[in-house]
Amino acid sequence: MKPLRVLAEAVRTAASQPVASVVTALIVAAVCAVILSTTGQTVQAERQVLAQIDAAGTRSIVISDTQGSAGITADAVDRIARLSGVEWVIGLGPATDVRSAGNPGGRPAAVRAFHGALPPQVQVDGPSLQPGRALVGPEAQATLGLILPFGGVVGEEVGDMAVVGSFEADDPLAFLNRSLLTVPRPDETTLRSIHVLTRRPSDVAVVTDAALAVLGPEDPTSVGIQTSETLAAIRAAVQGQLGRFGRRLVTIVLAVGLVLAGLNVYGAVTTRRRDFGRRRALGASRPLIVGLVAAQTFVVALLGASVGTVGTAFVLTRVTGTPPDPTFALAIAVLAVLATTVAALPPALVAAYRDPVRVLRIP
Amino acid sequence: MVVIEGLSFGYRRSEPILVDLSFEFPTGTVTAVTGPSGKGKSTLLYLVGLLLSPWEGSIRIDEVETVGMPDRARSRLRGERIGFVFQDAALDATRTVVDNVVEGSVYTGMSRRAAVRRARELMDRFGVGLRADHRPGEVSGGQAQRVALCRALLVDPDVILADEPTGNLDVGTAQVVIDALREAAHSEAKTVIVATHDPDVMAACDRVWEL
Repeated sequence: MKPLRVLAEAVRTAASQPVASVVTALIVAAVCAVILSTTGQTVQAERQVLAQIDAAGTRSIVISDTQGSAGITADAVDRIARLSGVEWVIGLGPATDVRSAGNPGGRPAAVRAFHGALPPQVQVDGPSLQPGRALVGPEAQATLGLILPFGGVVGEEVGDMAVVGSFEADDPLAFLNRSLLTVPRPDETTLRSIHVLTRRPSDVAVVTDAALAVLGPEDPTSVGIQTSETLAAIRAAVQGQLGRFGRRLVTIVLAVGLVLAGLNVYGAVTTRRRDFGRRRALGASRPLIVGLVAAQTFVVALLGASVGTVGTAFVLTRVTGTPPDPTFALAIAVLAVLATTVAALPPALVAAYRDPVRVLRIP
Repeated sequence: MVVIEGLSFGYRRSEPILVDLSFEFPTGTVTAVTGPSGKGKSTLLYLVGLLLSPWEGSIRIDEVETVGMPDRARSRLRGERIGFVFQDAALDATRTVVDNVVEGSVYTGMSRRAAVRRARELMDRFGVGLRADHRPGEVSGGQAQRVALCRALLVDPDVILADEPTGNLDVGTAQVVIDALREAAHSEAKTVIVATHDPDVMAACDRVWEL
């Protein structure tokens, strides 16, 4: 038996029963529409709330040498970067004041040497750095009075330094926008702070402990830790609450849709008793009858899910201005199709095991 | 050849319909199974057609014992070696005549192209070729029965089972159907078994078995 022939037969049978097929397709389309316009919106809201919480740094850890005596060195950056659960890490040296060379009496901005690779949160517009050259953040540029991110700055400790470009940092490194960034000279190995971003909020506690163990500071009392464990807990609570609500709603809507689709398929099967009897007489086995009914339902459900998902996405985009999350929409469509196909199995079994002789005989 | 031995069956254990039946249906003959209503003529056909399983006994089709086979094997044997003609033709009203004739090919693995070619040959042979693209509702009762016969012959089965094939037909049309069954048996060496209580049909058959 060729599966494509069975599928073609399923399509042919679905087309020959327009009312039952349209009703099933409408049920599936309605399930997709209801879930997308309720839970889908909740998911969108959840993602926005979580994004805001994440922006506040739920995954960030800041280890700082509060008194400059902890003895944190640059090689700690490499060691921490190798820890499991670390997305990126960057070390910052001490901040040193510089002023614009063109306006030595102007307001100062801090220049800091960074150790490690700049993370994606720092967008650079300029050449690669070397000692004596710096990138300027947008706020520091305004503070220094630089019209363009080029020129010279001067400081007591760093001497003359060329500004060769700019950068703009997002959270959790947005504070760098008030500074200039440069690379350290070979003898500059002391760090004042290490900034770590973990892969998941739940990694924060573990990575914090591991990072402290890796650092082995000379003066532990000088080390300050800022983590986002509280935020991570809030994030988990928000995610849990909204996720639970969404899952419940999806379950209820799917269950209702599944029952309705199952009843509709059962009704269609009941009215086609002679049809199945004829098929059995022509050589269809019981598993094939089950497969035919399931395939027919699958095809119709696929059509309904496509129409429901695309239609609802179009309407939601027009009404709210935001399209539903494509992954969520696809997942719901797949779930609706699978659930409807599963709902068709009991009626399919009824069709397969009905005595063909009783329906074929004419009294 | 179909051979039944010691066959017993009933729809309820307390009410056996067929008891210890034995008979041979030779290849190339048309055998009428007759008897009063309720004696089990149609039931016997459905037993031989592997749609029912006997309580006891043996049913052999060309020396192949069919009793005790699993459903999948029975369905395969039924699809490939047995053709049914029902009293009311049992055509699918939503498909064209030619689609009705080729329906069995879906279950036997025959390609649709080959099935359509064979269906058109059969329909031309039995005088319904011009109705190929009509719906069953647009053909007469006699034509519908001939379409059902084409469907039964599509996969070139060894056995054709016809349950009161002329029950709904007038005398002239019934004769056309009987002639078609005789032709299938004699020219294509099929074993044809007809359940009937029509004396004209019995007279046209090679053998008559009264239950």
